[in-house]
Amino acid sequence: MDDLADRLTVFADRDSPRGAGAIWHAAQRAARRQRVARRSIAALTVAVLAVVAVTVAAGHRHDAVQAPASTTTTTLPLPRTTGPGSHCIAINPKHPYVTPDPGFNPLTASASELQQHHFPPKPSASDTNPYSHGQTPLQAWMKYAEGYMEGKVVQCATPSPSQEPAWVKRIGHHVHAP
Amino acid sequence: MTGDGLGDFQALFERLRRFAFVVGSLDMEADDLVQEALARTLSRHRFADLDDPGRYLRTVIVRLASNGRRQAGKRRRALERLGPAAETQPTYPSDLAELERLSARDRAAVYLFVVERRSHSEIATILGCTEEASRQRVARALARLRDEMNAEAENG
Repeated sequence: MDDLADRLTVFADRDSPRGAGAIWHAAQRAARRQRVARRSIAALTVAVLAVVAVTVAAGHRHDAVQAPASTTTTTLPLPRTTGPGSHCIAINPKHPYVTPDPGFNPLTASASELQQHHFPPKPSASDTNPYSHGQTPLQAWMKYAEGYMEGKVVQCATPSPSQEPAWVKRIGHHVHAP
Repeated sequence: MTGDGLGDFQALFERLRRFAFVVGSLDMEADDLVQEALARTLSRHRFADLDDPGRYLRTVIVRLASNGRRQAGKRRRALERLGPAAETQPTYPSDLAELERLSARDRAAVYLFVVERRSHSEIATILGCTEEASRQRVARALARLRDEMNAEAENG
């Protein structure tokens, strides 16, 4: 053991070309650089995290602006056509049906009132020729008028029975239970 | 003006340098190893605040030497993959050739035990292992060195 200790001591016992003082000062300078580097990395990390947080928050705000809140009722105007009988007034995204004209009830309105509100004229009860979906013109009109009053009408109805195919098609497609 | 801790460091320097010389590998200057260990220490602590600066610096030296040896191994393997190297290895400056083949931690354990006469408890603290692990490490390393010394004796 002593032989090994002697050999290791001789092996390790060499003069330092630099000395303790030079090494101490060089180490202090290096330590200062390391501290600065560590602080810079920490500051950079904080900055990156802040940018990410701001970006994420901005994304959330953007989403909130884009999506309507569930309690909001937004009425989006649709183009009102100038032709007779256009009933597209507004669409409510939460309740997407045509909003009935205030005070207007097609079921009790006279022919002139129907025309004034651009509503399809009431067909005659004697007209029993069924439309393509099986209803008579009066039945189809009643269903449409009832749906209109209940706010279940989604789209415009083509008013005139002379334009029956388009009108019936629209009624058949858009008058439905909510 | 000796600076904050310079006097204490000067008192430790020669012993630290010998330790670094044994623990470090061929491509590491002992002075550089001590300086780097001191720089790492001073970047986190004031020298005067350390309970046992000598022990702390020895721990840092062992870790730096282990890392350096690992990196040197990676470099060597990468160079071997590139092709036959014309690089000439410097000769290890010890008459104990087996010492070069020991890991940095084994060398540290042997040096601390044989030359500095430290207890296994102190060695375990410096190496960051258990006392039992330190005992085994020292025993294994000493056995390898004794084998070489016995072979030398037999060969005259």
